[in-house]
Amino acid sequence: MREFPVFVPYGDEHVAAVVAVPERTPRGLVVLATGLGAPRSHRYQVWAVAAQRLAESGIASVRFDYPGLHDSTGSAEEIRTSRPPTEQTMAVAEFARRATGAREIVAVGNCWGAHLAVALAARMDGCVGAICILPETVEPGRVDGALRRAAGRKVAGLLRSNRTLRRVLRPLRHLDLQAKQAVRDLLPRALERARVLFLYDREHLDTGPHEVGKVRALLARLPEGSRGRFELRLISGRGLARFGSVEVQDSLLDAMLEWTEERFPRQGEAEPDPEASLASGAAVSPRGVP
Amino acid sequence: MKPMALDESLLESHRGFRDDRSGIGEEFLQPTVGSGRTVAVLSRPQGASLPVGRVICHSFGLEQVKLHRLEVVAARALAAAGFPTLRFFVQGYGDSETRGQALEVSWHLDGTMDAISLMRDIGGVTVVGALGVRFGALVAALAAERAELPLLGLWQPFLTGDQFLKDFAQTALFETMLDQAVGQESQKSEGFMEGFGPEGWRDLNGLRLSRRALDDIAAIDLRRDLRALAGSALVVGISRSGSVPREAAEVAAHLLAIGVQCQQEAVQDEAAPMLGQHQFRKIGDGEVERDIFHDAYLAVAEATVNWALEHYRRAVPIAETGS
Repeated sequence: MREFPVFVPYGDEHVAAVVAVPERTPRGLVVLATGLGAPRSHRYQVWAVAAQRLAESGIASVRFDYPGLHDSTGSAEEIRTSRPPTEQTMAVAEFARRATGAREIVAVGNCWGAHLAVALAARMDGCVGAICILPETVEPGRVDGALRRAAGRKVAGLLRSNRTLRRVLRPLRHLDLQAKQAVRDLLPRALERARVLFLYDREHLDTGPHEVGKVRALLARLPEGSRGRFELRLISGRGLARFGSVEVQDSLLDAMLEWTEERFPRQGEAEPDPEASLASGAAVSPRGVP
Repeated sequence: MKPMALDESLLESHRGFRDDRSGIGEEFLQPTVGSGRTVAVLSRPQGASLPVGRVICHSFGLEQVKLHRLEVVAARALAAAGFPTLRFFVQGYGDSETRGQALEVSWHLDGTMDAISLMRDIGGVTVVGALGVRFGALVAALAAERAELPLLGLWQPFLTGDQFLKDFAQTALFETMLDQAVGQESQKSEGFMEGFGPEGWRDLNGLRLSRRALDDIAAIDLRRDLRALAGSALVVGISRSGSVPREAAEVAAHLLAIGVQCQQEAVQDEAAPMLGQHQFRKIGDGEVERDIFHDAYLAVAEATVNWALEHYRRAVPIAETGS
């Protein structure tokens, strides 16, 4: 593997990135996006290790720092989480595609980066897949929003500080949750042409069934072809949110590599038919979860 | 369709940038430090450089990630003031060649010595100084002693490795508690110094933490390890009260005691106790995250630049500065 650290220009700023290339002509390119605050190599170098393992499989990758963070230029004193830097990420992906000669892309990201991964799948030609690790898929619905506006900060503060009140209101808030605007807009568009994998660990799947339910409901309204391109997998190990155990880091890398390899078939191999490999109903059920 | 070839010239032509607004340029380097290659960034003024270069030493474990932006802000501020400044990843961190292995303290020290050599070879640099934050400050001080550096800048330093480990352990314990609060399966809480496997390391919230690294950190004591250091030093302490924290004040006292001309600066910041931890906090409606260290980093960088401008002439032979 060879690695090239670069500053990719975007407007007046420069996005710090590392392009990793295998010894032979790459089968494809993986764009590795992080959660908010993590550097391009990610916590415990997980993306740097991913780049190495991908290169060993003949796949190029690019990892990068968000504008205003780490080695990228600019300032990020405040960040609006609903507006991740999609354009800058696409600029990095295009740069890496041009530099490596790869045609097809798989985008991978966790938390904030998961949003970017699905955005790339929806918007970039040649993006054949997105891996979304613990994507944030829901947001408070209309009732919650109206309550917040009407009640103001004092009541919101009371709700935050009073455990009993929170417990009473929790079921109502779960009912009111809706799929995030970005998920509603981008996921269907992504699934029109690309495969999308949502990755969870057990603890997040157990604590977030409402989130998965909202995604399931959204998918149910899509054409069968689109539904067949969605997959949800459960990986082993604890602490996926912060890559908080060596076991979960290894499981994540294994799952990522396996799924990415399928997206970039070696010469002479055909990609598995989604209709044949995943029944439409099974496509939204996590592997290993009844 | 045949795939296109790797465009190396495109990649090489993007190794650096020049920023006319700040008057600096940066370049990615891939030197060998310690046992393998790594990635470093050299920040330089666009105009003539002063003859004093700086090497920044990062902290230990996940703190390297959390404090990285301080290194960047300080490096760019120093470059804007005329000082070439190098930041780099020790083996086992960031984009370095060593990946997914238990960290060693020797990698920090050996890597820093190699980075100092690299800085000495950069054209126009005749004097090198070291900077570091928290554990990186311990490394910077040890490297300064070993390489006989006349300039040393320490941000939120500790006097001993034990002091650092106590603080590091508290953060790790907090992260473990967070993980257990999220998960349904309660994991058995082990002591910080327990649970090492046959390979000699334990999994501390995803970090491969070796028994040897803990022992090596605990063995650091600047009262014993710094004896020959001479020249000028800066100690910056960050606290809520605006006074220099006790550990940093002890470092400054020791430096003064061995004859180093040491200047202390305090930065007051509400977020001071969180230094080395996650820098973003939700504010307002929860859709905005604020970098709680933004102002503190700028203040530390400003204090460092002021000290650097004030003291570099003493470290450089008179003929070279023209004064």
